[in-house]
Amino acid sequence: MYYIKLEQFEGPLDLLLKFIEEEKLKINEISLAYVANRYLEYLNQAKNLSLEELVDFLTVAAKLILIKSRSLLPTLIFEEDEDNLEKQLKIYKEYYDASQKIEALSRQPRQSFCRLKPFRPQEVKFIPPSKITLELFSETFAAVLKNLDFLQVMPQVAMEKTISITEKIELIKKLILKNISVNFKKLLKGAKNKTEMIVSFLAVLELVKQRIVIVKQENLFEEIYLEKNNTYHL
Amino acid sequence: MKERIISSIEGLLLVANKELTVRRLVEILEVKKEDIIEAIEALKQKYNQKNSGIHLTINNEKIQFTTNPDNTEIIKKFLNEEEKGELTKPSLETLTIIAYRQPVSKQEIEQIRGVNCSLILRNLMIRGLVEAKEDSQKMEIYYSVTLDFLKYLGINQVSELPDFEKLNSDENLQKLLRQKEEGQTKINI
Repeated sequence: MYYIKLEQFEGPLDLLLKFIEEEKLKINEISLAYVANRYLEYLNQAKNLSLEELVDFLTVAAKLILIKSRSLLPTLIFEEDEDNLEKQLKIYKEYYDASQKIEALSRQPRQSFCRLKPFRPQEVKFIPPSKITLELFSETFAAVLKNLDFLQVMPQVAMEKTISITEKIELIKKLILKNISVNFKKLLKGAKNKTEMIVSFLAVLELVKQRIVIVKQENLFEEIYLEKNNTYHL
Repeated sequence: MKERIISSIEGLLLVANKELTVRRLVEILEVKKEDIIEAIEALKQKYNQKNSGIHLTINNEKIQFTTNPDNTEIIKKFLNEEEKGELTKPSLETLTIIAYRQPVSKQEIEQIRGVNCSLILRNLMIRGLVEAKEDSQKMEIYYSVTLDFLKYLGINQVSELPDFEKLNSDENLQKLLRQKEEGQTKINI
Protein backbone atom coordinates (compact mmCIF):
# COMPACT_ATOMS: atom_id res chain seq x y z
CA MET A 1 0.00 0.00 0.00
CA TYR A 2 1.28 3.41 -0.89
CA TYR A 3 0.80 6.04 1.79
CA ILE A 4 0.80 9.76 1.09
CA LYS A 5 0.79 12.45 3.71
CA LEU A 6 -2.35 14.53 3.61
CA GLU A 7 -0.57 17.80 4.33
CA GLN A 8 1.13 17.88 0.93
CA PHE A 9 -2.13 18.13 -0.94
CA GLU A 10 -4.32 21.15 -1.04
CA GLY A 11 -7.32 19.67 -2.73
CA PRO A 12 -8.74 16.83 -4.79
CA LEU A 13 -7.44 18.15 -8.11
CA ASP A 14 -3.97 18.47 -6.70
CA LEU A 15 -4.11 14.87 -5.50
CA LEU A 16 -5.55 13.56 -8.75
CA LEU A 17 -2.92 15.35 -10.79
CA LYS A 18 -0.20 13.81 -8.66
CA PHE A 19 -1.56 10.30 -9.23
CA ILE A 20 -1.78 10.78 -12.97
CA GLU A 21 1.67 12.28 -13.26
CA GLU A 22 3.19 9.53 -11.16
CA GLU A 23 1.89 6.98 -13.63
CA LYS A 24 3.34 9.17 -16.40
CA LEU A 25 -0.06 9.35 -18.05
CA LYS A 26 -1.81 12.09 -19.98
CA ILE A 27 -5.04 13.48 -18.64
CA ASN A 28 -7.95 11.72 -20.27
CA GLU A 29 -10.88 9.45 -19.43
CA ILE A 30 -8.74 6.34 -19.45
CA SER A 31 -6.13 7.63 -17.06
CA LEU A 32 -8.81 9.04 -14.78
CA ALA A 33 -10.55 5.68 -14.64
CA TYR A 34 -7.19 4.06 -13.98
CA VAL A 35 -6.32 6.19 -10.96
CA ALA A 36 -9.86 6.18 -9.55
CA ASN A 37 -9.06 3.26 -7.25
CA ARG A 38 -5.97 4.87 -5.82
CA TYR A 39 -7.88 8.07 -5.19
CA LEU A 40 -10.66 6.23 -3.37
CA GLU A 41 -8.19 4.19 -1.33
CA TYR A 42 -6.48 7.37 -0.32
CA LEU A 43 -9.74 9.03 0.63
CA ASN A 44 -10.67 6.01 2.72
CA GLN A 45 -7.65 6.34 4.92
CA ALA A 46 -7.53 10.14 5.14
CA LYS A 47 -8.39 11.09 8.68
CA ASN A 48 -7.67 14.78 8.97
CA LEU A 49 -10.13 16.24 6.51
CA SER A 50 -12.47 18.98 7.64
CA LEU A 51 -16.09 18.83 6.55
CA GLU A 52 -15.64 21.46 3.83
CA GLU A 53 -12.59 19.72 2.45
CA LEU A 54 -14.38 16.40 2.53
CA VAL A 55 -17.17 17.77 0.37
CA ASP A 56 -14.71 18.84 -2.31
CA PHE A 57 -12.92 15.48 -2.20
CA LEU A 58 -16.18 13.55 -2.36
CA THR A 59 -17.43 15.55 -5.36
CA VAL A 60 -14.37 14.55 -7.31
CA ALA A 61 -14.66 10.98 -6.03
CA ALA A 62 -18.20 10.81 -7.39
CA LYS A 63 -17.05 12.09 -10.79
CA LEU A 64 -14.26 9.52 -10.86
CA ILE A 65 -16.62 6.68 -10.08
CA LEU A 66 -18.84 7.88 -12.90
CA ILE A 67 -15.94 7.87 -15.32
CA LYS A 68 -14.80 4.47 -14.14
CA SER A 69 -18.32 3.06 -14.49
CA ARG A 70 -18.49 4.29 -18.02
CA SER A 71 -15.21 2.64 -18.85
CA LEU A 72 -16.57 -0.66 -17.53
CA LEU A 73 -19.96 -0.28 -19.20
CA PRO A 74 -19.35 1.54 -22.46
CA THR A 75 -22.97 1.23 -23.53
CA LEU A 76 -24.23 3.22 -20.58
CA ILE A 77 -25.56 6.64 -21.50
CA PHE A 78 -25.29 9.60 -19.19
CA GLU A 79 -27.20 12.88 -19.36
CA GLU A 80 -24.69 15.32 -17.96
CA ASP A 81 -21.67 16.51 -19.87
CA GLU A 82 -19.14 13.91 -18.96
CA ASP A 83 -15.95 15.73 -19.85
CA ASN A 84 -16.18 18.02 -16.90
CA LEU A 85 -13.55 16.43 -14.69
CA GLU A 86 -11.13 15.86 -17.54
CA LYS A 87 -11.38 19.47 -18.71
CA GLN A 88 -11.25 20.77 -15.19
CA LEU A 89 -8.11 18.84 -14.43
CA LYS A 90 -6.45 20.02 -17.65
CA ILE A 91 -7.19 23.63 -16.85
CA TYR A 92 -6.02 23.17 -13.30
CA LYS A 93 -2.77 21.73 -14.59
CA GLU A 94 -2.19 24.79 -16.80
CA TYR A 95 -2.46 27.09 -13.84
CA TYR A 96 -0.50 24.79 -11.59
CA ASP A 97 2.37 24.87 -14.10
CA ALA A 98 2.05 28.63 -14.35
CA SER A 99 2.20 28.98 -10.59
CA GLN A 100 5.48 27.09 -10.61
CA LYS A 101 6.82 29.64 -13.10
CA ILE A 102 5.64 32.49 -10.93
CA GLU A 103 7.28 30.92 -7.94
CA ALA A 104 10.53 30.68 -9.87
CA LEU A 105 10.14 34.36 -10.71
CA SER A 106 9.57 35.26 -7.08
CA ARG A 107 12.69 33.37 -6.04
CA GLN A 108 14.84 35.41 -8.37
CA PRO A 109 16.40 38.38 -6.68
CA ARG A 110 14.49 40.81 -8.88
CA GLN A 111 12.19 43.30 -7.26
CA SER A 112 11.06 46.83 -7.85
CA PHE A 113 10.81 49.50 -5.23
CA CYS A 114 8.98 52.79 -5.09
CA ARG A 115 9.09 56.04 -3.26
CA LEU A 116 8.48 55.52 0.41
CA LYS A 117 6.12 57.61 2.43
CA PRO A 118 8.23 60.22 4.19
CA PHE A 119 8.30 59.88 7.93
CA ARG A 120 6.98 63.07 9.44
CA PRO A 121 6.84 63.09 13.20
CA GLN A 122 3.70 64.96 14.10
CA GLU A 123 1.67 65.66 17.13
CA VAL A 124 -1.20 63.24 17.31
CA LYS A 125 -4.32 64.86 15.88
CA PHE A 126 -7.63 63.47 14.83
CA ILE A 127 -8.34 64.62 11.28
CA PRO A 128 -11.40 62.84 9.94
CA PRO A 129 -12.02 62.80 6.19
CA SER A 130 -14.57 65.44 5.20
CA LYS A 131 -17.18 63.15 3.69
CA ILE A 132 -17.67 60.87 6.66
CA THR A 133 -21.17 60.52 8.01
CA LEU A 134 -22.68 58.20 10.56
CA GLU A 135 -24.55 56.39 7.80
CA LEU A 136 -21.35 55.80 5.89
CA PHE A 137 -19.78 54.20 8.95
CA SER A 138 -22.64 51.80 9.53
CA GLU A 139 -22.93 50.95 5.82
CA THR A 140 -19.24 50.23 5.61
CA PHE A 141 -19.29 48.04 8.67
CA ALA A 142 -22.34 46.17 7.40
CA ALA A 143 -20.46 45.49 4.17
CA VAL A 144 -17.46 44.17 6.10
CA LEU A 145 -19.72 41.86 8.09
CA LYS A 146 -21.37 40.62 4.91
CA ASN A 147 -18.00 39.65 3.51
CA LEU A 148 -17.39 37.51 6.56
CA ASP A 149 -20.41 35.35 5.77
CA PHE A 150 -18.27 32.40 4.83
CA LEU A 151 -17.09 32.07 8.42
CA GLN A 152 -20.58 31.21 9.59
CA VAL A 153 -21.05 27.81 11.10
CA MET A 154 -23.21 25.52 9.02
CA PRO A 155 -26.69 24.87 10.45
CA GLN A 156 -26.76 21.69 12.46
CA VAL A 157 -29.41 19.15 11.66
CA ALA A 158 -30.10 16.08 13.70
CA MET A 159 -29.94 13.03 11.50
CA GLU A 160 -31.25 9.59 12.28
CA LYS A 161 -28.59 7.03 12.83
CA THR A 162 -28.79 4.60 9.94
CA ILE A 163 -27.15 1.27 10.00
CA SER A 164 -23.95 1.14 7.97
CA ILE A 165 -22.98 -1.48 5.44
CA THR A 166 -20.10 -2.59 7.63
CA GLU A 167 -22.48 -3.17 10.52
CA LYS A 168 -24.86 -5.11 8.28
CA ILE A 169 -22.06 -7.24 6.96
CA GLU A 170 -21.08 -8.20 10.50
CA LEU A 171 -24.71 -8.95 11.35
CA ILE A 172 -25.17 -11.23 8.35
CA LYS A 173 -21.89 -12.98 9.01
CA LYS A 174 -23.01 -13.74 12.55
CA LEU A 175 -26.36 -15.03 11.28
CA ILE A 176 -24.67 -17.31 8.80
CA LEU A 177 -22.40 -18.69 11.48
CA LYS A 178 -25.39 -19.48 13.68
CA ASN A 179 -27.71 -20.90 11.02
CA ILE A 180 -26.29 -22.75 8.07
CA SER A 181 -28.67 -21.01 5.72
CA VAL A 182 -30.49 -17.71 5.91
CA ASN A 183 -33.63 -16.79 4.02
CA PHE A 184 -33.06 -13.53 2.14
CA LYS A 185 -36.67 -12.40 2.45
CA LYS A 186 -36.57 -12.89 6.21
CA LEU A 187 -33.40 -10.83 6.30
CA LEU A 188 -35.09 -7.96 4.54
CA LYS A 189 -38.19 -8.22 6.71
CA GLY A 190 -36.13 -7.13 9.67
CA ALA A 191 -35.35 -3.81 8.01
CA LYS A 192 -36.98 -0.75 9.55
CA ASN A 193 -37.03 1.33 6.38
CA LYS A 194 -36.13 1.32 2.71
CA THR A 195 -32.60 2.53 3.39
CA GLU A 196 -31.94 -0.41 5.66
CA MET A 197 -33.23 -2.80 3.00
CA ILE A 198 -30.86 -1.29 0.45
CA VAL A 199 -28.01 -1.55 2.92
CA SER A 200 -28.82 -5.22 3.52
CA PHE A 201 -28.82 -5.87 -0.21
CA LEU A 202 -25.47 -4.12 -0.65
CA ALA A 203 -24.07 -6.07 2.29
CA VAL A 204 -25.08 -9.35 0.67
CA LEU A 205 -23.48 -8.29 -2.63
CA GLU A 206 -20.28 -7.42 -0.82
CA LEU A 207 -20.26 -10.72 1.05
CA VAL A 208 -20.74 -12.58 -2.21
CA LYS A 209 -17.92 -10.60 -3.81
CA GLN A 210 -15.66 -11.46 -0.88
CA ARG A 211 -16.72 -15.11 -1.35
CA ILE A 212 -17.83 -15.43 2.24
CA VAL A 213 -21.40 -16.20 1.26
CA ILE A 214 -23.01 -18.19 -1.52
CA VAL A 215 -26.47 -17.34 -2.77
CA LYS A 216 -28.80 -20.14 -3.81
CA GLN A 217 -32.14 -20.08 -5.60
CA GLU A 218 -33.84 -23.22 -6.89
CA ASN A 219 -36.00 -21.62 -9.53
CA LEU A 220 -36.94 -18.20 -10.82
CA PHE A 221 -38.81 -16.11 -8.27
CA GLU A 222 -38.45 -18.71 -5.54
CA GLU A 223 -36.91 -18.13 -2.13
CA ILE A 224 -33.30 -17.03 -2.03
CA TYR A 225 -31.00 -18.53 0.55
CA LEU A 226 -27.68 -17.29 1.79
CA GLU A 227 -25.20 -19.95 2.82
CA LYS A 228 -21.76 -19.95 4.23
CA ASN A 229 -19.11 -20.55 1.63
CA ASN A 230 -17.23 -23.48 3.13
CA THR A 231 -14.20 -23.08 0.94
CA TYR A 232 -13.35 -19.92 2.83
CA HIS A 233 -13.19 -19.43 6.57
CA LEU A 234 -15.26 -16.69 8.17
CA MET B 1 -0.59 69.66 -25.76
CA LYS B 2 0.25 65.98 -25.64
CA GLU B 3 3.77 66.79 -24.47
CA ARG B 4 2.34 68.87 -21.64
CA ILE B 5 0.21 65.96 -20.48
CA ILE B 6 3.12 63.55 -20.64
CA SER B 7 5.37 65.95 -18.83
CA SER B 8 2.78 66.67 -16.13
CA ILE B 9 2.20 63.02 -15.41
CA GLU B 10 5.93 62.49 -15.27
CA GLY B 11 6.21 65.21 -12.64
CA LEU B 12 3.33 63.83 -10.62
CA LEU B 13 4.85 60.37 -10.70
CA LEU B 14 7.99 61.79 -9.18
CA VAL B 15 6.37 63.49 -6.24
CA ALA B 16 3.59 61.04 -5.51
CA ASN B 17 4.34 58.73 -2.63
CA LYS B 18 1.78 56.19 -3.71
CA GLU B 19 0.25 54.91 -6.95
CA LEU B 20 -1.59 57.36 -9.19
CA THR B 21 -4.98 56.40 -10.52
CA VAL B 22 -6.08 57.24 -14.03
CA ARG B 23 -9.22 58.73 -12.54
CA ARG B 24 -7.25 61.15 -10.37
CA LEU B 25 -5.09 62.15 -13.33
CA VAL B 26 -8.18 62.91 -15.39
CA GLU B 27 -9.43 65.11 -12.52
CA ILE B 28 -6.23 67.00 -11.97
CA LEU B 29 -5.20 67.51 -15.57
CA GLU B 30 -8.76 68.08 -16.77
CA VAL B 31 -8.35 66.04 -19.91
CA LYS B 32 -10.06 62.98 -21.35
CA LYS B 33 -9.28 59.47 -20.17
CA GLU B 34 -8.03 58.49 -23.64
CA ASP B 35 -5.43 61.25 -23.46
CA ILE B 36 -4.17 59.98 -20.15
CA ILE B 37 -3.96 56.40 -21.42
CA GLU B 38 -2.04 57.59 -24.47
CA ALA B 39 0.38 59.57 -22.31
CA ILE B 40 0.92 56.59 -20.06
CA GLU B 41 1.77 54.48 -23.09
CA ALA B 42 4.34 57.06 -24.17
CA LEU B 43 5.88 57.13 -20.70
CA LYS B 44 5.98 53.36 -20.67
CA GLN B 45 7.95 53.36 -23.93
CA LYS B 46 10.33 55.93 -22.53
CA TYR B 47 11.03 54.35 -19.18
CA ASN B 48 10.66 50.60 -19.47
CA GLN B 49 14.04 50.09 -21.07
CA LYS B 50 16.99 48.11 -19.85
CA ASN B 51 19.15 51.18 -19.26
CA SER B 52 16.55 53.18 -17.41
CA GLY B 53 16.88 53.08 -13.66
CA ILE B 54 13.30 54.21 -13.35
CA HIS B 55 10.48 52.02 -14.66
CA LEU B 56 6.78 52.61 -14.94
CA THR B 57 4.60 49.91 -13.41
CA ILE B 58 1.00 49.75 -14.59
CA ASN B 59 -1.88 47.72 -13.20
CA ASN B 60 -5.64 48.12 -13.14
CA GLU B 61 -5.55 51.76 -14.27
CA LYS B 62 -3.03 52.70 -11.62
CA ILE B 63 0.57 53.70 -12.26
CA GLN B 64 3.69 54.18 -10.23
CA PHE B 65 7.38 54.86 -10.75
CA THR B 66 9.42 51.89 -9.62
CA THR B 67 13.05 50.95 -9.68
CA ASN B 68 14.52 48.81 -12.45
CA PRO B 69 14.60 45.26 -11.05
CA ASP B 70 18.14 44.94 -12.37
CA ASN B 71 19.14 47.16 -9.48
CA THR B 72 17.50 45.07 -6.79
CA GLU B 73 20.64 44.32 -4.76
CA ILE B 74 21.86 47.90 -4.55
CA ILE B 75 18.48 49.24 -3.61
CA LYS B 76 17.87 46.55 -1.05
CA LYS B 77 21.19 47.42 0.50
CA PHE B 78 20.27 51.08 0.59
CA LEU B 79 16.86 50.46 2.10
CA ASN B 80 17.98 47.66 4.39
CA GLU B 81 14.95 45.84 3.13
CA GLU B 82 13.85 42.70 4.98
CA GLU B 83 13.03 39.45 3.22
CA LYS B 84 9.33 39.12 2.52
CA GLY B 85 7.56 35.98 3.70
CA GLU B 86 7.23 33.00 1.41
CA LEU B 87 3.91 32.13 -0.14
CA THR B 88 2.24 28.79 0.53
CA LYS B 89 1.35 26.55 -2.39
CA PRO B 90 -2.41 27.22 -2.34
CA SER B 91 -1.80 30.96 -1.99
CA LEU B 92 0.57 30.83 -4.94
CA GLU B 93 -1.93 28.94 -7.08
CA THR B 94 -4.74 31.35 -6.21
CA LEU B 95 -2.48 34.32 -6.88
CA THR B 96 -1.50 32.84 -10.23
CA ILE B 97 -5.08 32.44 -11.34
CA ILE B 98 -5.89 36.00 -10.34
CA ALA B 99 -2.79 37.42 -12.02
CA TYR B 100 -3.55 35.75 -15.33
CA ARG B 101 -7.27 36.30 -15.36
CA GLN B 102 -7.92 39.51 -13.51
CA PRO B 103 -10.43 40.81 -12.75
CA VAL B 104 -11.75 37.46 -11.71
CA SER B 105 -14.58 36.35 -9.44
CA LYS B 106 -14.21 34.04 -6.48
CA GLN B 107 -16.45 31.53 -8.22
CA GLU B 108 -14.17 31.34 -11.24
CA ILE B 109 -11.13 30.88 -9.04
CA GLU B 110 -12.82 28.04 -7.19
CA GLN B 111 -13.91 26.40 -10.44
CA ILE B 112 -10.30 26.21 -11.52
CA ARG B 113 -8.79 25.16 -8.23
CA GLY B 114 -11.60 22.87 -7.18
CA VAL B 115 -11.54 24.03 -3.56
CA ASN B 116 -12.89 26.87 -1.51
CA CYS B 117 -10.53 29.84 -1.32
CA SER B 118 -12.20 32.36 0.99
CA LEU B 119 -9.49 32.28 3.63
CA ILE B 120 -6.71 32.40 1.08
CA LEU B 121 -8.23 35.48 -0.56
CA ARG B 122 -8.46 37.19 2.78
CA ASN B 123 -4.82 36.49 3.57
CA LEU B 124 -3.68 37.67 0.17
CA MET B 125 -5.61 40.90 0.65
CA ILE B 126 -4.16 41.40 4.10
CA ARG B 127 -0.70 41.01 2.61
CA GLY B 128 -1.53 43.62 0.02
CA LEU B 129 -1.00 41.29 -2.93
CA VAL B 130 -4.63 41.17 -4.02
CA GLU B 131 -7.37 43.77 -4.08
CA ALA B 132 -11.13 43.40 -4.36
CA LYS B 133 -13.57 45.59 -6.21
CA GLU B 134 -17.32 45.25 -6.44
CA ASP B 135 -18.99 45.37 -9.83
CA SER B 136 -22.24 47.07 -8.88
CA GLN B 137 -23.96 45.97 -12.07
CA LYS B 138 -23.23 42.31 -11.62
CA MET B 139 -23.40 42.50 -7.81
CA GLU B 140 -20.23 40.47 -7.68
CA ILE B 141 -16.78 41.04 -6.24
CA TYR B 142 -13.83 40.84 -8.60
CA TYR B 143 -10.25 40.24 -7.55
CA SER B 144 -7.05 41.60 -9.08
CA VAL B 145 -3.42 41.61 -8.11
CA THR B 146 -1.91 44.82 -6.78
CA LEU B 147 1.03 46.91 -7.87
CA ASP B 148 2.84 45.52 -4.83
CA PHE B 149 2.53 42.05 -6.31
CA LEU B 150 4.13 43.22 -9.56
CA LYS B 151 6.93 44.86 -7.63
CA TYR B 152 7.41 41.63 -5.68
CA LEU B 153 8.01 39.78 -8.92
CA GLY B 154 9.97 42.58 -10.54
CA ILE B 155 7.68 42.98 -13.54
CA ASN B 156 5.94 46.07 -14.89
CA GLN B 157 2.64 44.64 -16.08
CA VAL B 158 0.74 41.36 -15.76
CA SER B 159 1.17 40.86 -19.50
CA GLU B 160 4.85 40.25 -18.81
CA LEU B 161 4.02 37.00 -16.99
CA PRO B 162 5.18 33.82 -18.76
CA ASP B 163 2.64 32.46 -21.28
CA PHE B 164 0.28 35.31 -20.53
CA GLU B 165 -1.63 35.27 -23.83
CA LYS B 166 -2.14 31.54 -23.72
CA LEU B 167 -3.45 31.34 -20.15
CA ASN B 168 -5.44 34.51 -20.43
CA SER B 169 -7.62 33.09 -23.16
CA ASP B 170 -7.40 29.37 -22.62
CA GLU B 171 -9.82 27.61 -24.92
CA ASN B 172 -10.63 24.92 -22.41
CA LEU B 173 -11.36 27.49 -19.77
CA GLN B 174 -13.73 29.41 -22.01
CA LYS B 175 -15.66 26.25 -22.72
CA LEU B 176 -15.81 25.20 -19.10
CA LEU B 177 -17.01 28.63 -18.06
CA ARG B 178 -19.65 28.73 -20.74
CA GLN B 179 -20.95 25.37 -19.55
CA LYS B 180 -21.28 26.66 -16.02
CA GLU B 181 -23.05 29.78 -17.22
CA GLU B 182 -25.51 27.75 -19.22
CA GLY B 183 -26.10 25.47 -16.27
CA GLN B 184 -26.93 28.44 -14.11
CA THR B 185 -29.32 29.97 -16.63
CA LYS B 186 -31.30 26.76 -16.62
CA ILE B 187 -31.71 26.92 -12.87
CA ASN B 188 -32.88 30.53 -12.97
CA ILE B 189 -35.55 29.76 -15.52
